[in-house]
Amino acid sequence: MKKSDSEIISAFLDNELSEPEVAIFKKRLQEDALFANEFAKYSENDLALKQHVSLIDNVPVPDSIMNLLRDAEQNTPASNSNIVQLASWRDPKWLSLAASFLIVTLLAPVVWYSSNEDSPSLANILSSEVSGQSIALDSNTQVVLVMSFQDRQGNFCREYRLSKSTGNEQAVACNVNGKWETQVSDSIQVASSQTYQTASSASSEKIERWLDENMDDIPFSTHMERKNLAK
Amino acid sequence: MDTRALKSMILANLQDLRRFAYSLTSDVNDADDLTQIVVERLLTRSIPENVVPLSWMFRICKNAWIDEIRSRKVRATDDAVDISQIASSNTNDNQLEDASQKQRLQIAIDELPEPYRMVISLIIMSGLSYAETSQTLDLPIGTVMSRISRARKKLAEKLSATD
Repeated sequence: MKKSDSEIISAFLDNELSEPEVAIFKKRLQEDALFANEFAKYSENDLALKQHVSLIDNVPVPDSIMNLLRDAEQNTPASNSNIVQLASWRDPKWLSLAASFLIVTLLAPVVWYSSNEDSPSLANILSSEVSGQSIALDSNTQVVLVMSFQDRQGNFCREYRLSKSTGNEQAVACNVNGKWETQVSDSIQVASSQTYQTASSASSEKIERWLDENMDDIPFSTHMERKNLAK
Repeated sequence: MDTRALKSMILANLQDLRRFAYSLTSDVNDADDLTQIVVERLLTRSIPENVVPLSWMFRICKNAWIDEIRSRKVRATDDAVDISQIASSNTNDNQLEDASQKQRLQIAIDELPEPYRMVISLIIMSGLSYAETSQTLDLPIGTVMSRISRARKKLAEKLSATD
């Protein structure tokens, strides 16, 4: 997959382009005013973000933290350390910037009705609730709404996660002609009940690649999401 | 990794860790509480094999934030200690505009979906590479790349809208 302009600009700002790519990038900056303008905007925002977070640099590190590090140095002999010897880092086998195409499996439309008349159906939740919430679908199932967006066909779509006693599933459903249809889903591993885990950290590569292929643009803001839910 | 080397690693990256913690909590006190939790956990628990210690440190921070700080609903509020509000009594127009810009930026960040806020915090604010971020979040590098570019695009849209 060809990198989009925003991906190229982003990679340059993050020092992730190769030397030949940097040379091409710099040439394009000189020749393409729109590209240069986009770069300037991202660069300015990056600077604002770094300045924003660097405010904490002006606050001294609390003694409570420094004492931990001093104590660890002074009082813990290496032989009694419970820090295991690390193996040398190997490149993760999944690393590849080359695109591979996925076969998108269109699944049957979502028809999910709770057996409890007082519980909301998934379709109702997708149609009415804003992202960022965790809602009980029934006594065994929670749905976490991750984000909303428009697909390339102009449909309103939502990414969500279902946590059930039998397992967990991440999915994307789109409202096609008034009906919610599942576009892609994948089983995901979620941390034990002792540890909270965000939907983002449990995302699957299958879902991410579908999003790359089908999202028309970036996720909706809260305002745009509410507007689409009100339709 | 022995304790001395671990301590050196933590010290060398303490600034980035605090920045990451601050980007998550938007409050200095909470950020340092979170940093302390991370350091304690790093020093008392073993690091899994085949995991880069730096990525592991940020992963602990992310999970600790979710587990403990967020459960107390400690986010930037009017009562929180925010450095941008620690000002002299002599405010002037420049300072007021500066505070307003910071607030707009914070609002724009807060309104991003969490997947995008997380990559902004790790890559832009804390300086992690795509490879380190992919290990921290347990995501493919391609996903990290697309998320950070979308996050930047989204942030630019939000900030342009408030100009």
